[in-house]
Amino acid sequence: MKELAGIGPLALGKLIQSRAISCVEAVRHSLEVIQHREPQCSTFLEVTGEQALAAAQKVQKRIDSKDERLSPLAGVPMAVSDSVCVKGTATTCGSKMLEGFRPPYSATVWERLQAEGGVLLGKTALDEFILGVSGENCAFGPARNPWDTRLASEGSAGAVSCGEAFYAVGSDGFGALRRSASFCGVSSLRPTCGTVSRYGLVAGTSSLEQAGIVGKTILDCAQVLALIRGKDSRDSTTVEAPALDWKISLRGLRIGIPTACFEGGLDPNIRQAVLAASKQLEALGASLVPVELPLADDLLPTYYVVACGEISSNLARYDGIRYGYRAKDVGDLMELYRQSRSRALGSQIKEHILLGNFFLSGEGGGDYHQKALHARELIRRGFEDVFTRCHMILSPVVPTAPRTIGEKPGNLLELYRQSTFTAPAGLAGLPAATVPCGFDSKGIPIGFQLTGRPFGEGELIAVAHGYQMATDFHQRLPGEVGQ
Amino acid sequence: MNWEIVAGVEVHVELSTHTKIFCGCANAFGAEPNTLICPVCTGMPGALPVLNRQVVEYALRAGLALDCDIARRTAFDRKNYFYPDLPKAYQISQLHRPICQNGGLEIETPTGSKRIGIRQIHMEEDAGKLIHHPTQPCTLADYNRCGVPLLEIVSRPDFTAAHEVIAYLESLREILLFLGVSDCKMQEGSLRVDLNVSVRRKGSGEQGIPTEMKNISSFQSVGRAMVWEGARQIQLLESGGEVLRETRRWDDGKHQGFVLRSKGGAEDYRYLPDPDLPILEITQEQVEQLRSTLPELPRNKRARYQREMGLSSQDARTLTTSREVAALFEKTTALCQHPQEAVNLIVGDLARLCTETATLPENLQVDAAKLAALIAMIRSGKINRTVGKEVLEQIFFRDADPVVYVAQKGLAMVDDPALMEAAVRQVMEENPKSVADYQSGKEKAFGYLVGQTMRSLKGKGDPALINGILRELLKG
Repeated sequence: MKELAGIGPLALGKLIQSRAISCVEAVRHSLEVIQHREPQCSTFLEVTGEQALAAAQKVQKRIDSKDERLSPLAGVPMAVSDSVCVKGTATTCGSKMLEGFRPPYSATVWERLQAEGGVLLGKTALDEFILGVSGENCAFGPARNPWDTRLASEGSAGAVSCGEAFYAVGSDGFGALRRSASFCGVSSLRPTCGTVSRYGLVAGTSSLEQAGIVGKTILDCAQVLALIRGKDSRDSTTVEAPALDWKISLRGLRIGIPTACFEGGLDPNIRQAVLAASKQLEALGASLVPVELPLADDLLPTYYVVACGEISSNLARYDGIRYGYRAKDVGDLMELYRQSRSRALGSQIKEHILLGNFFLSGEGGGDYHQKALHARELIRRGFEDVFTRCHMILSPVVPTAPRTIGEKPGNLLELYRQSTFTAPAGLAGLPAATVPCGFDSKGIPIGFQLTGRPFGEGELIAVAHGYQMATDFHQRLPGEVGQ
Repeated sequence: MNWEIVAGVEVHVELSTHTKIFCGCANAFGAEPNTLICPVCTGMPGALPVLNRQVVEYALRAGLALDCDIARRTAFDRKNYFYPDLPKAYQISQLHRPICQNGGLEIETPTGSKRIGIRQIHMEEDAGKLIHHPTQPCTLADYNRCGVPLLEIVSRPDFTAAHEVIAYLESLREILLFLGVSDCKMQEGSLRVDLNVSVRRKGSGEQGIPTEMKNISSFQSVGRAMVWEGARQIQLLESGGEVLRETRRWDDGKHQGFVLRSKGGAEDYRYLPDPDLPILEITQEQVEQLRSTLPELPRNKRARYQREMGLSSQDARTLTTSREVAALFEKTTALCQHPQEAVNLIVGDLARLCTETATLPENLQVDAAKLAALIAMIRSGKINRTVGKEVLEQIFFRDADPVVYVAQKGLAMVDDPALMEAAVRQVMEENPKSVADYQSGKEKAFGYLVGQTMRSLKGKGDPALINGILRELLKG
C-alpha cells in the first residue's frame, strides 16, 4: 500500500468509488502508517482500529450497492480531535478530567461525516480543553510534529502531515489547529462562525470556537467543509450560510496586507516566506492593498478576557459529581469539588479559570468582561470596514518559530502573542485558511493565513487553491524520524 | 412606634409547556428519578441549549397580562454557581435583557385598590433536586427538573402590609392560571415565593437593608413571615443593632425565620452573556398577535359578571377562582340564559360536591349542557330543588343525562291536584293527633303534616301546592 503515500483524500475517494481499492484496504493502509509513526509522533490519544475496519466494511457495502448519498470522501480514513464527541468512544478533550468519559451522543460534525461514509481511525491529541498555543498542553502528552519530533503539534495536523489520516476535523479555538497545520506543512480551514454546528464539540471558549479542518490541500478542506456545514437544529447559533462556491477567479480579488504585522517582532524567515507568497498571489492576478487591522493593540487583551470568562464558566461543570474524574476519600462536598478540580485540571487551565473568575466578578456582572464584549463589537465593525477595501487579509499564521517541547516562554504575554494573527477570526467570527508557503532555516514548514469576510470561505479557498496550483510546498512530506 | 415594613416578592413559576426550556425532554412532575433527562439538561460536554418557543410565548402572555413593556431584543445570561443539583454549574437566566419589564398589578385592599409594580419578568431554567438518602449517609441527585422552564416575576418593594402581599399573590396566581401558563401548585413547587423585607421610619422614604426569606409554603405564611421578619428587624434596630444582608429560611411550624446564609456583600454570580444562545428578536406583530388571543382575565370577568349579569361581588369572586369554573359558568349561562340559577348550582351544590370529594377545579369535568338542562327542569317546575340536588349528584358522579335520569326514575313533579289531595287526605287519616294539634292552635303540627305528605310523594310534590291543599282540608 506504499503507493497511497502522498495521495490526497479526493484521489483516494475516486480510487474507492472506482473500486480500484477497497475501504478496508484503505483503513489497513492507515493503520499500518499509524503503527509505524505513532511511537515517535503520538498524534492519537486513541486508535479505534477495530471499529474503523468494521465501519469500512459497512461503507464498502454501500459503495457496492451504489448508494447515492455517499460523498466523494466516502471510505477515506480520517481522524477527529479528541474534542469531538463520538458516541461510545472515549472523549477526553486532552484533559485528565474527562479520562474514561464516553459520551452517549455524537457531535453533529461527526454524524454528518459518518452519514456520508466517513471512516474514523481514532481521536487525536490536542491542548487541554482546546486551550493552548501549540498542542503542547495535552494532559496525556503532546502530539509531535512529524517534521521535528522535538516540537509539539495538535494531533490532527500531525496525523495528516505524516499520512496517518487523509483529513481531520477538530476544534479551532485559540488557533492551535491553524498554527499546528502551518508548522506541519498542511492546510487548514476555519469556517465563518455559525456555518458549522458546535453541537458535541467539547466547549472551551464557546463564542471563539469553531470546527476546524485539516487536509493536505485547501481543496481537501473545502470538500470536508461542504459535508459538515449547514444549520443544525441542535445548535441555535448556526445559520443557513450562502452556497459554498470556490470557482472564483483570482483576477479582481483584492488581498489586504496588514503592513504593521510584517514589522516588529516577526521572525525574518516567516516574513520572507509570507511576503514571497503575496507576490505569487499578485502574479496570479490578485491585487495587494495595504490595510490596517482594527484596534490592533486591543485584539489580544480583548481575546483573552472573553476567552477566560467563557473557560471559567464552561469548565465549572467538571465538578467530579456526574462523570469524569472524581477525587476519592474526601470528607464533604466542598472538598470533593476542590480535590477533583485541583487534581484533574492542568495548571494552564486553572490559571485561565482564575483569570476568568476575576474578569467576571463584580457588581453588574463583570466590568472587564462587559468592556471586552464592547471592544469585541468594535473590532467586528472594524473588520467590516477593512473588508470594504479588500476581500481578504493575508498574514503570517504565527509571529515566531515554534518552541521545542518543555522550552519555557519568557513570560505569559509572550506565549499569548503567538495568537496575534489567529485571534481575529475567533473574535470577529471570520473564516480563515492556512496553507504552507516555505520552510525556515531548520526545515520547519512555514504557512500563511488568509482571513476572510463573513461567509467568504469560497474566496479564501479559491485564492489558496490558486496558490497551491502554482506551488508545491503542500506536496512535501516529512522525512522519517530523526532526519 | 413609627416604623414601616417594606416588602417585595420574587415569584418563580414553572411553566406547563410540553417540553423543557432548552431540550426536548418532557416537562412532567413526579416521574421516576433521572428518567426525563438528556445530554443537554444534564450539561454534558459539548451539548448546547436550544430555546423552546412555547416558553417565549408563555412569558409574553404573562408579560402582557401583567401590563409589562415587552423587550424587542431579549437575551440569556449565565448565572454561575456550584451546587450538585445544577449540572452545568450555571443557570441559564436573564440579567441584562429580560423579556418583560415595568409592569404592574392592581390589588384590592380595605382602603381601595393599589397598584403593585412589577420590575421584571424573566425566563430561566430550573435546577434538579437533591434527596438525602433515608438510611445511608449520602445524597442522591434527581435531574428530572433540570431545564424545566421558569418565569421569575419580580415585584417592586411596594408592599407595606401582609394582606397586600397575600392579595397580590392570589391575584397573580389567578392570572397565571387563567393564562394557562402554569398550574401554580405550591405543594408541588410549581409556584415558589421568595420574600424581601426591610424596615424604615415611616415617611422617611429611605431604603433599609433587606433580608431574603425562602422556603415559604403558602400565601398565608408569606404574610406571617413578613410580619415576623419586620418585627425582628424593628426590634434589632431599636436595640441599637443593625440588619445584616442575609438569606433566611422560614419555618412555618415554629413561626420563625432562621439564617440560611449570610450574603456578606452582594452574592457574586459572575454573570456572562450566554454565547450558546443568540439574541432573540421579538416583533411587534408577534406581540399584537398574542395580545389579541389573551383570554379575559379574572378581574375583568368579575366586573363583567357584576355589571352585565347582576351577580354579587362575592359570587363573581367565587366563580373566578379558577379558569375551569368560570368557563363552566359562562357556558351554562349561555345555554340556560339564567346566570343566577347557574351561580346557585355552581357556587352552591357543585362546590359542596367538589369539597366533599376533594376535586380540584382543574379536574372538574361537568358538562355545561347538562347543567343547563337541569336548570331548565327546575325553572319550569318539572322537578323541585330537592330532586335537583339528586340529579346534580348523578351528573357529577356518573355524567348522567338529567332529562333521561328524571324520566327513568320517575322524579318529575306530581302536578295532578287529585293525586295530591288523595295523598294529603291519607296523611291526615294516619295522623289524627297532629290534625287535632293543629286545630287546637299548634302551628308546628302543620309543618309535620306537610313533611309527611312530601314523603309519601317521594319528594316530588310541589310544597306550595301541598300547603294550599292541606290548609283547605284542615279548615274542615
